[in-house]
Amino acid sequence: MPFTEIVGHQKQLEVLGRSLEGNRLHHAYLFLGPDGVGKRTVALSLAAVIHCSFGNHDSCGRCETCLSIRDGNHPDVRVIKPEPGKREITIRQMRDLQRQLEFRSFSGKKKIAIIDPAHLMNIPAQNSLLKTLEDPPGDALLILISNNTASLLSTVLSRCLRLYFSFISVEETAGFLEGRKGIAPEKAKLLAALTGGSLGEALNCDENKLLDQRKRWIERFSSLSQGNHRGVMALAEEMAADRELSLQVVQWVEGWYRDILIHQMTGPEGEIRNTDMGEKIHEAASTHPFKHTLSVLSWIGRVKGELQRNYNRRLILENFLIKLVDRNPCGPGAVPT
Amino acid sequence: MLIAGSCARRSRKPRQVRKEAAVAVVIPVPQGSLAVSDDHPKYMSYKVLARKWRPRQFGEIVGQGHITRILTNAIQSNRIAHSYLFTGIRGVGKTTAARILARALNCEKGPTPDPCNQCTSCLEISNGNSIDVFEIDGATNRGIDEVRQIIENIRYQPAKSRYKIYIIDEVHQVTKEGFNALLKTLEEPPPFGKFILATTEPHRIPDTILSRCQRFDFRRISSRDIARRLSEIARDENLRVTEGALLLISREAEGSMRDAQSLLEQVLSYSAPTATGQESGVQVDEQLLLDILGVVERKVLYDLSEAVIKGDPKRCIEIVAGVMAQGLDLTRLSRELVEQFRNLLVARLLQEKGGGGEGHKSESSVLGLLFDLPDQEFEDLNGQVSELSVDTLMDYFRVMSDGDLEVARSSYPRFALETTLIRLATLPGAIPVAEALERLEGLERRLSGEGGRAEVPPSGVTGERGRGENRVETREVNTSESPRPEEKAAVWKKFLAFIMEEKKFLASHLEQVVPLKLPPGKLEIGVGERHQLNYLMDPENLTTLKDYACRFFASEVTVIVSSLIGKSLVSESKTVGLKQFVDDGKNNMVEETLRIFGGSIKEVKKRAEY
Repeated sequence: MPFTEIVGHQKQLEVLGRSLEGNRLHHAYLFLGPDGVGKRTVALSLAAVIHCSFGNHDSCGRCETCLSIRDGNHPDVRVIKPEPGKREITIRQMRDLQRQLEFRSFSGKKKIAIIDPAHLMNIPAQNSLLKTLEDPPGDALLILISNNTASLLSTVLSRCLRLYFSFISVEETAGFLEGRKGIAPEKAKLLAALTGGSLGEALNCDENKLLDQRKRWIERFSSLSQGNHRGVMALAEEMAADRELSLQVVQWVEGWYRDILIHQMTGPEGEIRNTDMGEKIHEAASTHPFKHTLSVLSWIGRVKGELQRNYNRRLILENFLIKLVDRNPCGPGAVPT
Repeated sequence: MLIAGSCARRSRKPRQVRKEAAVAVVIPVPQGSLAVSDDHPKYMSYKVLARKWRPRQFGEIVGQGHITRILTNAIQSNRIAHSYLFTGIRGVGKTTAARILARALNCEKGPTPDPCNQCTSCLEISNGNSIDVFEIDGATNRGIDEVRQIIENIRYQPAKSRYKIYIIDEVHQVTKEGFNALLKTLEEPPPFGKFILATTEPHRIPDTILSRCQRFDFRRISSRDIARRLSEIARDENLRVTEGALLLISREAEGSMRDAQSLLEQVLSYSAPTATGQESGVQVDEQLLLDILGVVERKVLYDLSEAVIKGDPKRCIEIVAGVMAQGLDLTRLSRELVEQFRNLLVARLLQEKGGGGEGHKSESSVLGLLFDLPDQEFEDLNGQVSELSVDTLMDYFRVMSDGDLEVARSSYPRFALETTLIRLATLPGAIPVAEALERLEGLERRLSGEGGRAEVPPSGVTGERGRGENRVETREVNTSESPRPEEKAAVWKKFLAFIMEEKKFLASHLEQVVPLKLPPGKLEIGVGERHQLNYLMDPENLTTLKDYACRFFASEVTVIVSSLIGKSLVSESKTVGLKQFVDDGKNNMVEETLRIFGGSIKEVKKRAEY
C-alpha cells in the first residue's frame, strides 16, 4: 500500500519519507503503539517503497513487487511471527532468520525482516538477535513491531530506532469507515468511538455484533437487581461457556463503567465511548457513588487478568457478579445504603 | 514460499549435517561493509551513527577512563591476562573495548595500546574477517557443541597474527553446560589464546567463570560526557542542535552512549539535510526535540501532580485528553508520573530532615544523586509538597506505581491511566500536618475530660499514671512557671548530652524515653520498653541518674520512672497517621471503645483498598 493511502500517522510517515530521501534509513526500527492502528501496514509499505521499481519515494501499489509484498510472498521480505500452535517466537526462528540475512538479497535490494509482534520473542530469542540488531549483514533492515516496551530487553531497545504510533483520531477513523465501508455516518462515528482509534479493530469487527450484542450484554448487566443470585448464576454460566465471549463482554462492561466514571468526573460533556447509550450513562452516573465505580473497575481489571490466565471462568465470573449485586442493593445503577 | 520450502528442507536433513552447519556459524560475524552493493542506488548501506562513530582507539572511549588506563598499562608492561570479562549496561562500550583490545594485541606494530588501524591485521579485524580473531555471538551459539568447537580450535597456532582471540559477546546466554565445558580452557589457554567475554548481565555467569577472568565493570556515562560527544557528532554531521537539546538527549539516554546516539539518529531523521546537501537542515531546539521524541513536557507532569494534590479529577482527565490529542505515548507518561511522585516523596522527606530549610541546599552533591533535575524544578517540587504528609505521598506513589503496571499491561492504556489518576485525585485524607495535630489535641482533651478510665497499672511500677492525665498535668504546671514544650525538649537534649559524656550506656537508654516532667522539683520520665524499664528501675542506675540530674539542674531532684508499656507514645510522626481517624468528632465509637477498655490509640492503619 502506498504511503499516501495510509490513514493517520502523518508524522511517522514523514519521518520515514525523510529518511528514505536522505538515504538515512536505520537498519533496525522499533514500531511502538497500540494494537490495530496500522503498524504492520506501515512496515509493509516501507518494504514496498524500498522494493518497488516504479514509484519514486513511494510505492505504486500495483506492480508485481508491490502485490507480492502485500500478499506476503516476496522473497526478500519476511514476516516473522510465532509458529502455528506456539505462543512465542523462539531462538530457532531467530537462528533461521540470521542465516537468511547472511545471503544476498534476491532482488539486489534490501532484505527486510518484520518481527510482529516483537514482544512475543522469548528471552533467548531476543538475546540471540542482539548482535544482528547491532551490526546486521550489509543490506538488512529489521523492523520490530510491539505494543509495549516492558517485555523487550533494554539491550534490544537501545539498538533500535523507535517510532511511536498512537491511536488514530475518532474523526479520521469515522471518515475512513464512511468512505471505505460505506457505513452510515451516525453508525461510523459510534463504531469509531467504540474501537477507540484502532482502525484494525474497527475494520475487522462484525459491526452488528459489536453494536447490538454489546448493548444487550450491558443492559443485562445493569439490570441485575440486588440479591438476584439466581440471575447471576445464569449470566455467569452463559458467559463462561466461551473464553473469547467472556473476555469480550468483560471488556464491554469495563468500557461501560469507564464511561460512568468519566461522566461522574467531568459531567455530560465528557468524552464517552458508548455514545448510543448516553442517557443510561447519565442515569447510572447520577445514582452511582463514584467510589463504587472505582472499585468495580479494579475488580474488572483483576477479572480480566484471571480470565486471560485461564483460571476457572465460571468461578471468576460468579465471584465478580456476586460482589457486584451484593455490595449494591438496587443493581449496578443504584446507591448502596 | 520459496524460503519456507528451503527452511523445511534444511530441518529435515540428518543431524550430522546440521551439526556442521552449527560449526559454520562460529565463523566471525561480519561487522563491516561486507556486502558492497553499489550497483543499486536506491536506499543502500547507510551506516547509522552508533556504528559510524564507534571508537577506534582506547582514548576515544568516553567515560571509562578507569578501564582504558588499566588496559593500556597492561599492554605497555606486557602483562596481558588471558581472559577478560567486560560488564556494564547497554551501550557503554563493552564490545567496542573488546574490539580495540583485539586490534591492539594483534596490530602489526604492536602489541601497542594505540592500534594503527591501517595495517592488514587491524583492517581485517575492523571488517570482521580476520582469521585469528573470532567474534562469537554467545546468545545464538550458546550450546556445549559450539563451545567444544572453540576448545578444539584454540589448540592450533594462530595463522598469521600474534594471538588467537575469542570475543564472546552476550556471554550470559551461554548454557550451563557450555560454561562448564569452557572452564579448563579459560583457566589455562595456550600461550597465544586470549578470551574477551562481554555481557550486560554478569549475575547470570557462574562463579567459576568469574573467578577465572579479569573483570571490568563499565560505568554509566555521565550526561555531560555524552553531551560533549554528541556535540562533536552533530558538528561533523552538519546538524544544528542547541546545547539544551543535546543535554536533554543525554539525560534521556540514562548513561548509555548508544541510546543517546539512537536518539540523535531519530532527530536526524526528522531534521537532517538531505543527501543532496542543498537543504541545510532545521535548527533543533528543545521544543522541537520534545515533539520529535514524543516526550511529555515536564510541565504536564507538574500540572497533573498539582491537579492530583488539589483533588481535581476533572482537570486530570482534561490533561490526559490533551496529551492524547498530541499523539504522545501514554505508557511513557504513566512511567514518568511514577517518577514524579517518587520525586515529590523524596523532596518531602528531605524537607522533613533538613527542617531549617537551608540544610538541604548545601548538600548539592547528595541532591544530584537523588534527583536528576535542574534547581528550578526542585523548587517546584518543594512548593507542591510542603503541605502534604509523607504518608499521603507514600499513598500517591503506591497507587501510581500499581496503576502504571496496569497501564503497561492494558490494551487501552488511556482508560487505565484515567482511572488511576481519578483514584489518586480522590484519595482520602490529604490533610495538612498542622491541622491533623490540632485535631488530635482536640480529641486528647476530650478523652482526658471524660475521666473514670479503668487503668490497669503494670505491676511493680511506682507513680503509674495514664498518658493523657500526665499530659494535662504537665500542661497545667507549665503554664505557670515551666518552659514551653520546645524549650523543654531543648533542655532534655542538653541533659542527655551531659550524661552521654560520662555514661554512654545510660544515655542511650534515656534517648528512647519520654520526659514527662522536668525539674525544678521532680524529674519524671515515661518508659515504653520493658527492658529499659527494668534497667532504669534498678536501684543503682536510679541513683546514678538522680546524681546526674542533681548535678545538671544544680538542685535537689526526685526521679520518678513511669511505665508507658502498652500505651501510645504519641510522638509527632504518629499523629500524621491519626489524622484520618480523628475526624471532626464523628468517631464516637472509637472514643467509646477506648473508654470501655481503657485503651489508647497506638496505630492507625488505612484500609488498603476501596
